[in-house]
Amino acid sequence: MTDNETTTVEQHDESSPVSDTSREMLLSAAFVKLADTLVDDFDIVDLLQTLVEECKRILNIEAAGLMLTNQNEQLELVASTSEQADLVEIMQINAGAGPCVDAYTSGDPIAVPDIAAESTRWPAFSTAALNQGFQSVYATPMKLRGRVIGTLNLLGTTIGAVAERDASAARALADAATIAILQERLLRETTIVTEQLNHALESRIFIEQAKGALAQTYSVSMNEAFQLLRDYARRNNLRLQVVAAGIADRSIAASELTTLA
Amino acid sequence: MPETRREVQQATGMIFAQLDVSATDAFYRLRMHAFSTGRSIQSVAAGVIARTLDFRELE
Repeated sequence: MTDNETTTVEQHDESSPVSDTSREMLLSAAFVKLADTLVDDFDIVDLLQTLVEECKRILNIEAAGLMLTNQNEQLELVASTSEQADLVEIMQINAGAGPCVDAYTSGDPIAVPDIAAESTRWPAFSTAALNQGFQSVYATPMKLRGRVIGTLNLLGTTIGAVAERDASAARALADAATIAILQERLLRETTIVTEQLNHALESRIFIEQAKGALAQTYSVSMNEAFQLLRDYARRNNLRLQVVAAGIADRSIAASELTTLA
Repeated sequence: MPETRREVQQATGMIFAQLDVSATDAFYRLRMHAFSTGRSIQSVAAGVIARTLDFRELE
């Protein structure tokens, strides 16, 4: 008897792409979902989290990460399909020198069908991505009135260009999110986009702190802590940021997160 | 560095839960510990996350 279950690679199953009809339905549903998040007390972090999760669900990719620029014109990871350090690290390297930052500076999508072939162009990014089993990446800029405010990045575990229909779906979803950021700007009647970006990035501070509190309380990983946080928010129909802030001021007890309704 | 900032925030949350203090106090203690041991905040945060450093044991 060998413990071969421990060697099973944790991978998303659906290697066979979803059928065209169900894919169109999923995509339409994703847009409706995004539109739904735009109602009154909509939160940008929730919206962006929904966006990356829908990308992973609908498109033939393994992971997705969304980055927005901060005041110092640096890209920061705001939402990703996994909170595990490996993906976060890849995205951060990517923001320094990789397709992500190139899509940001050029304003054009960057398709990398074979990451291994770009080891001289982006050595650190290639090494980190390949070490985690990622072979291809597609980075698309998020443009708002001619200004690039961030990038949406799709990572695949097989060599090959992202299918054009996936790429165009990703661009459409990124555009929808960009419009949502503009919408939030109007709702808040502020004058600069930077403030909205900062709001999204600052929301992350509470979320990271809440993850730490939950990781400590339940002896779980940061990724599992994030799942706990999100599950609780969904069960109670609360925004992620509200739950995170509630944990920070102890109006929501970390120890009761799994037992409270 | 954004990545290390995330870790500092996560470690702050862990200390917040370990010591039952406010997040502001937790961050203050993290910074004080780094200062008093001559380490960087990032390195102390990494130790907290890796669970090799528990602030309850420092009290």
